[in-house]
Amino acid sequence: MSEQILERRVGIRGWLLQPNPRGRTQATAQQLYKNWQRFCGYPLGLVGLAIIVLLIVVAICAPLLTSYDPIAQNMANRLAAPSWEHLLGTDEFGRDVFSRIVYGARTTLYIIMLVAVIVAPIGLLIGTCAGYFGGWVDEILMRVTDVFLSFPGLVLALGFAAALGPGITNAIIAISLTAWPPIARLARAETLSLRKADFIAAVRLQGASAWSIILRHILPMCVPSVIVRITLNMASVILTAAGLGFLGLGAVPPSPEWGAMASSGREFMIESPWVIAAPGIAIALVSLAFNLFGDALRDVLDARGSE
Amino acid sequence: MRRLIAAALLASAAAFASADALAKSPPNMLVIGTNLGGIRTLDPAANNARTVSELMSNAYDNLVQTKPASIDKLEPMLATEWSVSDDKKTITMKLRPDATFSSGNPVTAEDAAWSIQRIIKMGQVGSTDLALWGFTKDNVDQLVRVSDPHTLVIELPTEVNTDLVLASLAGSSVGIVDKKTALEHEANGDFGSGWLAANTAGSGPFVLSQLRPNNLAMFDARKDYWGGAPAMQRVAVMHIPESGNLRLQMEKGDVDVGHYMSSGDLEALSNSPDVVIDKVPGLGFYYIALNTKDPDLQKPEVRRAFQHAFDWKAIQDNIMKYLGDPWQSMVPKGMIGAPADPLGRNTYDPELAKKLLAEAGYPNGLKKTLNPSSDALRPFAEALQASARKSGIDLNLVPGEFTPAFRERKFEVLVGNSGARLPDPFAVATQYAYNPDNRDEARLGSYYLWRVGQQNEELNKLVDESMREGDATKRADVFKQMDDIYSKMDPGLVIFFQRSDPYVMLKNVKGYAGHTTWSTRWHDVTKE
Amino acid sequence: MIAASTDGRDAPLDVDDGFEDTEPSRGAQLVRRFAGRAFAIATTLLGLLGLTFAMGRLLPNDPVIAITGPEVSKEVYDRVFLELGLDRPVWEQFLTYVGKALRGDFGVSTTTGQKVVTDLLMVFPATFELAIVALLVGVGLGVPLGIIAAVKRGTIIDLIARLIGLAGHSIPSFWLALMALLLFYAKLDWFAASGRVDVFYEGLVTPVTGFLLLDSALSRNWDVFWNALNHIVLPGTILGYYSVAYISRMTRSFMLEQLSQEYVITAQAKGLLPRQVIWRHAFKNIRVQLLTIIALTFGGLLDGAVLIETVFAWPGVGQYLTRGIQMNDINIVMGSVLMIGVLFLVINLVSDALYRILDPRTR
Repeated sequence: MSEQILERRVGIRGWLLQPNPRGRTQATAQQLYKNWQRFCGYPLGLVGLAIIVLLIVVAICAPLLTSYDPIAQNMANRLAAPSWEHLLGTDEFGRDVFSRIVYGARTTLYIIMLVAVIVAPIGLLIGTCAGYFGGWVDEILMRVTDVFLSFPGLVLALGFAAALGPGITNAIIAISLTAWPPIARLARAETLSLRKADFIAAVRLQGASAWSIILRHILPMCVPSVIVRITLNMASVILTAAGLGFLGLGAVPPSPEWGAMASSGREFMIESPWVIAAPGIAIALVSLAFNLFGDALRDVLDARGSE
Repeated sequence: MRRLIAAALLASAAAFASADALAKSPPNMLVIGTNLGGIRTLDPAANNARTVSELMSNAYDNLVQTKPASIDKLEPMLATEWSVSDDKKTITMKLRPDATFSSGNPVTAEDAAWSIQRIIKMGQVGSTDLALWGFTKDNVDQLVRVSDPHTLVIELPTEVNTDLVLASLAGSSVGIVDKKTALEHEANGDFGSGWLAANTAGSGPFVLSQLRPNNLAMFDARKDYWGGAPAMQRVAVMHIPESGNLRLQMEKGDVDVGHYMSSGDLEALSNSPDVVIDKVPGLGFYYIALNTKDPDLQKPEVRRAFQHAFDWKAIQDNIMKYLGDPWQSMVPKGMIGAPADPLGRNTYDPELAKKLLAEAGYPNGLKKTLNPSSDALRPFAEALQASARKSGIDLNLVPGEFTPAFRERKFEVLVGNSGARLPDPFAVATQYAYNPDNRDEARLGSYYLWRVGQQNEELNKLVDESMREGDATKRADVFKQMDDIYSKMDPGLVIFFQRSDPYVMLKNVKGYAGHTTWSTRWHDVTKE
Repeated sequence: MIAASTDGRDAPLDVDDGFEDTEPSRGAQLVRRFAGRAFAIATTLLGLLGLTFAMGRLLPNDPVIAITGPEVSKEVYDRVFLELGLDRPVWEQFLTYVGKALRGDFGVSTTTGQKVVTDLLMVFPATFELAIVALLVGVGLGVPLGIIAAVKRGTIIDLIARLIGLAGHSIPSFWLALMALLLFYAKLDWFAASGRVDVFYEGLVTPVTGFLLLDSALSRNWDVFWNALNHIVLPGTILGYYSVAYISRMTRSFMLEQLSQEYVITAQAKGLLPRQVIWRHAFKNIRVQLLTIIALTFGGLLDGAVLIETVFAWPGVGQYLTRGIQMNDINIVMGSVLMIGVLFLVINLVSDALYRILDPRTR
């Protein structure tokens, strides 16, 4: 019995380490496994990953982790200090801070996921088109990218968030507007190095259209580095979102958003520091996690590039 | 490199040392922390807001004044005495001869007449009160005139209670401007308004010495002020919009007087032995505005549901502790015609609210957008949002600055607060119960009843009557009738609290008394 | 292109498009490059104007009311409506906007009653001064940290240096600012909390440059100077700390590249002390690269200043902008964003130019 399990384990490991992969799936899996092994050599990166996983788990299991409604007010018990009943105390409306932090994880995750989902395709499409077609298409697309790049991120997001009005959707749009250009640049650079590659030339000779080359061959090749890049940007997305929330331009009350929580907690920070400490630490922890994870990821992939 | 680091350390050590030696706010200087945002001009004729009223009241003198302790008693200022003709049509005022403007020019009846004329002719917010008495840009030159260099005659175009007229002259917009100096700086017939936006030309005890928008207004004392030189040689009014920051600076003794502090900071400061909080009653309310142009809010049952959807008791002892007292009548507490106890009108009753909504055709509740009139009202809005949820009203709170939208009727549900400067229920009644023209294009944004799209002929008549009537008993009866009609019409303005303005002061500051009509004067302020 | 930073907004304008050209004469090449560059700047500027114009169009409030104030009669309203050209097509309105903006006319602020340009010129030096101090902090902390990390690569010191930098890039600056306020002002009373100088020092120094530290030092008004220094310490340090991560990481990677070079190994072999190798050779070689990085950081600091200024009531562009946003003041928002954008563009150009001029490889 135990031998069988052992054998199977060896089997999977063996499959992953087999010198000559059979088929694309195995090759990809092997590549991933190799990277994972290398990634394991970065303890800080692992810490970051662990925190990110924790964030996701907390966001999914929010109702299981707390019995309090994050938006239910209880004026009789406002600004209560942390206790067993309220692990992180209560805020100025008597809402449980712990449950607001826990549900706030959902808000944060919602923001970064949506930003990633919006930004990746836009950046990829613009970058690959500019890189592949070149000429005036490239010129125009890159000019537009430069315009967006020539604004400091927060200021641009602030301007658009102000113009669109408060609200989490508007904040996401504003942040996305500032987050796609680096992705586009990256995708363009990758495309430039790919478009002269032999296999692309081969596909072209087979009569594939430009669009099908871009979508089916070039774009998928750019995906890994774009993912890394987006991971690296996540920390700044989180901070921008928190900054918008702090200035009252993010999520609208009563939905729990960490930046807005820190902002409204300012009034009470001297007597009731838990109101502001908890969201601040939460933001810092998650953005640090993405920074650590992204850093390690880049080192792993850079090392691959230099091999 | 090492030497550089050493130099940097030395520098920071010196900075520490100088921090210890930092004098706190000096004994002959008053430092006021407030919010200077939104002040476009210091011209009295173009202002009626709170902070700027205080500034103007110290740079400009009025003809008459009221003292904070007795706001219904008119006292002399530039006018030493005044008389009303028997037909109640003409007011004659004798001006003091010894007053001078900061330019050195003497204050004459000519300056006083011109100041009133320019307010009417400019037609900006400062003219709101005066225009009510029937002055127009065509008649004001004849009606407000000079009979001799120190005698001013004001003839009234319509029948008006002269006490109201005299009280309006004490308002900060009717500060007397140095005609000669203002006209020297006139451009394109603006009555010197462009120049007066960032300069003062009054006869008050202080003169503006420096103005940086959204940052600082610095006033220097006039030693030659007719009422004697003030004890404070300088008054610095600083823009400190962050309440927490303001509070810290007060605790350190860097700031002497604080305005617009948030309820949380007020609560904390109330325990401090070094600080006094003066809760000054105000002439206005905290209300929920319901736009009756909205198809849902047009239904009286829905508006009635809102009367019972707000758990105001839960916030009276915390969020609203210093900002107001529970009140539910359109006639302010303690004034003539005010009901004894209106607090049973809008009881919090989620079940009743749900029932009313169901009757109106919303058995599954109602969804509306809620805006605070300004960011300061956000806690109030959040509390309303939470209690309305239990009544089946789902309010989507969009924070920001919504006063302009409110004035334009572009809102659904809004929470706001109002203020008035005339210490008479008439002033509040014009805001809450008066609307001469309910059409959209009338743009009567200064009448709150127009903003919510309601109109009532009876109320209009009563408000007019309260303006004309001179007899106090009759007037009390008029206000009672108004209150009665108003509370039964399911008004688009649901009143919950009567406003008060908390002024926070350090213990050693004496003589700073917050004024109900916002014309707080610094002349008698001393520091111990 | 310079290696990526965590905030991803580091790319200097690069007109090298990655497509090979045929080899024209050197003179023609220069002309082409210059023309291309000028064209790039012009289009970027136009794009900036387009974006801010879009912001103004998106804002939900009435541009007429923004000018006249709410108490306005029908006639005045209609007149201003026509004066503003709001009846014309959008593209025409945009052209008018561009024309005005190029002449430095950003309109009048509804909240201060002044021209936005006047306001901006008044608040700008405060932000600039703050950013310079922050830059000094960022460089003073980031460069040594990066060098140490590179020299001690892979050790615990490298790890700590990296964590210090990353923490600066992860902790929300506004939160750190609040905590610093709590500790250094409320509890310890070491530093001042708000504004550029205590109010009783206001007006003692006549503004020449607008930079209070410089002005007070020039006029030998040392009380004011120390007071101003005391005020700038907290906001400057916190803003600067934010840039430490970027500067230290870039320094580290530049240094690593140098330290792996032949000459370093040779130098070591010749018996030179590591310190000399590090400073005399390796550091000397990365100075140009560092300079570009520093210029880019400066642009990023303008960004961070928005939040820091709000917390410390620092009377700069950031506070002006946030106030404009809160009060729905279109002209302030458009003017400030545009100015920061243009400044950012200029800084990018300067850093790019510096790189091209100073770097021996590109010369």
